[in-house]
Amino acid sequence: MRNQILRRLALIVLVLSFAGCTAFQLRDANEQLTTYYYGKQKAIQTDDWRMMENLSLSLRTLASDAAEQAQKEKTVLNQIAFYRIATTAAWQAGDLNVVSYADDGTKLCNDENFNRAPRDCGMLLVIPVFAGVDETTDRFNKLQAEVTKAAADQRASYAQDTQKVFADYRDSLVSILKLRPQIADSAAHSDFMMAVDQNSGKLLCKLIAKDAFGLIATARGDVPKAKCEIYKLKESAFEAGLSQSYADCLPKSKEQLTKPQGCH
Amino acid sequence: MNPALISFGIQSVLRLGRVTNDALEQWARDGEAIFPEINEPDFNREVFVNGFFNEDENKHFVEGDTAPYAEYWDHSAVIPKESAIDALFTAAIKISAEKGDDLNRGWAPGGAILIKQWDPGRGPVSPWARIILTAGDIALEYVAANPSIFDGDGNGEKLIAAYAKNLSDILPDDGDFGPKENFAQRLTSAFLRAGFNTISLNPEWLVSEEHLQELISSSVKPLVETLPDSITEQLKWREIADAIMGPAAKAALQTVAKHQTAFLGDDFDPDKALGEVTRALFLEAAKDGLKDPFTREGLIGLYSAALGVAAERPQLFLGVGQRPENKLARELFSNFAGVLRDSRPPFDGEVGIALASAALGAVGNNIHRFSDDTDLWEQTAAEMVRSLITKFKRALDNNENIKSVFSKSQWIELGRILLSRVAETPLTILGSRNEAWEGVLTAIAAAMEADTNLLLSGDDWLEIVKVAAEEVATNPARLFRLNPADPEDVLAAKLFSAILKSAGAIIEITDLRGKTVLFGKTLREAIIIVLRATSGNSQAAREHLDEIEKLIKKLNGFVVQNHLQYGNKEWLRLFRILLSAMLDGKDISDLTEETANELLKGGS
Repeated sequence: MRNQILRRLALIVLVLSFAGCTAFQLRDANEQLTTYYYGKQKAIQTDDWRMMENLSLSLRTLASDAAEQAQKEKTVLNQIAFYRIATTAAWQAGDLNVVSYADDGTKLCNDENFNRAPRDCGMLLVIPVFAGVDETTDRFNKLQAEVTKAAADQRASYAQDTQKVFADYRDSLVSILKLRPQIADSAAHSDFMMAVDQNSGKLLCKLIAKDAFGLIATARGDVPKAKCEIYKLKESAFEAGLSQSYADCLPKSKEQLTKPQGCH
Repeated sequence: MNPALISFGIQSVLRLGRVTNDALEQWARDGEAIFPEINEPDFNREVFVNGFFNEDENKHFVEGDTAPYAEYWDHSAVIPKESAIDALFTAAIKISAEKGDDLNRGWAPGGAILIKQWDPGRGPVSPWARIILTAGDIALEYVAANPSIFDGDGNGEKLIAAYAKNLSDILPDDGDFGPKENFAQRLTSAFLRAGFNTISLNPEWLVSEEHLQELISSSVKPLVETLPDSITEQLKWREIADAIMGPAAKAALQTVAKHQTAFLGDDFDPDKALGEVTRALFLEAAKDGLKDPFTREGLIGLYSAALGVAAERPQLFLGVGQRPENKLARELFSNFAGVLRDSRPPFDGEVGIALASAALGAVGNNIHRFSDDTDLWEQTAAEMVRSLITKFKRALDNNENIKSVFSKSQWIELGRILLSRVAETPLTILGSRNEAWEGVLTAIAAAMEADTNLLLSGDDWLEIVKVAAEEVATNPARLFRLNPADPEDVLAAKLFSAILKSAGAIIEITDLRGKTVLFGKTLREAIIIVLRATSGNSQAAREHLDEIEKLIKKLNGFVVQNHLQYGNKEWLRLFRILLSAMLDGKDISDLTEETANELLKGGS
């Protein structure tokens, strides 16, 4: 009996202060985003391209709906939350509006609001950069297909393009590394920093140091220069606080980095 | 969780209203948010090999005098040949394995992270609280507009109690909800919203909590149990649920409100029947994912029609004959959806649904009059509608002008008259091959085709159809019996055509057009006279078919020539007398002013 009374009391405390409409719209939009994202991943894994198209369309619609709702909201924190959903959905839909949604949201993230919604404001800062990485990966895939199909004596004509892909990846990583200290210092949940670091580590150690680098070599591009840039990026990564835990191409400490020959 | 506790929580939310809206919004903002992983580039072995062996730590395997794989390498890249690429790829795997590296480590696709806003101490509320909050939020929408919803007989409280009981039965106590539980919550919430809506619209509604529980449970539970496992299929189901469950729940509860006496007391059959129909609706909708434009409105219309029958005659949906209950309602939707999906204007949309509704109502209400095959009653109803639409559509195709004569409501009324009258005497009319039903449709369709001059209005047609329906119900074997060997050989069809042909012939003569009386109400009465007279003597009618046509022509000519003396009343009286005489075998060839006046005075 006493237990039941306590449960009732706990429930009252829990629920007595909650009612409203925006909250449920926000929760629903958030749930939709999660569901569509996992659905899209599943569709990619099972090669269900029709489903993937449908989900991309759903994500695009969710993005525009959330951005529209953000404009209607009266509370700035709700606006930021809806822009965060719009930006994430636009990223996953490959929607070019990702940048404008993120811009609209980050405009609201002044110092005070950043502290009141640290995860949402942090996401608004980094998502456009990662969306740019995905866009570069699309270009990488097309270029890789062209280069590896080309005859050996034709491949050098692609060298400049492969170096451009490399440079775009590099610039994205530099942007993220610049943002890292701000995110690390914020009150955002530590999982957010971990997620950003995982993506940054993958960008550095896989997309740049293996894929883009390998593609430059395949197109007979400037391999020593690329190698030197990777070294410098690793240095920057250390300085920004990225560790071996999330970037396995990094040594345990900066001092263990070996500078390639001819790299200044 | 105890359902009483859920109810109690919802009531708490209601009592406190929107006072602390900010707190709820904060809870929503601080919930977990997905942060996706960046995409993986396509894997290419040649590019991989070039990346791998250009790393300083691996370079010595391909460059230098002692390099074991130098033969496959050309300056800073593998020789672009399959054999060389394969050789170095295999070598790279071997080298990595020897170092203890896993080439695929750390980059599994789809590794998104769900991230909370900030510190773990302020995580989102429990799933149970979310359910309570959702219900409270729905209730608040209606309380604001209708503050008395929880006053008086307490319908609002009964509804919440029924909702709580159902969720309590479906959801696990530990609050560890999976997709099925979330889906159940979504469906049940649709009922809750519809319930409040119904209470608002029907303040006098009396309902028992147990009946509501049964209705929600029998509708929602089977749907939840059959929720597919795959994410993509679950997404489809959710889309369907969002599109259809709200209007369906609204229709179901409005049916409950309309048929209040059926939903009180000890009989729970109506609740079960409504549950079966609701489930069948959902499964039919899931078939094509509501892609067909007909589907949503069409199915909801059909659903409402079926609910009306289910409320009044639940036993029809609860397993008859060889068919279990879960099959019957599904076949009803399947049969009718097939008919309506194929229907073309003006029998698509609203008209088609109304006809389906009329057929369901007519057959359902007269089920006791059907033969032993009552377990196929819904199929009979669907086939009746299909025949009706097919025949009339053909008539419209052959005489497009007649479309303008009928309004939507007249088409519906026309179908309703036929369907309800026929369903009252199904054994004699439908027979083994629906001969009389097909016959009456053939006859009316033939008449529509024949009225190329549009001499009859929509209302005239309704009156004629009423008499035709009555005649076919009382004397099916006479005028309307279809000859299976010759589907066009229906006596009534020939009679209708003859009358309209004669009436049309005089209209087409410009000089006489203004003097004829045989159109509109007079023509309608003439047709009714023929129907009544020949119904009792169909053999004579068949023998004198040509003479009937000639009689009309003759009478038309006579009245036109003497239009100052004779009008529509005289025409009809003379026609009635002369037709009767003709069918009795008397000679009526002599028609002069003198004989006409004598007949009108009452002579023979």
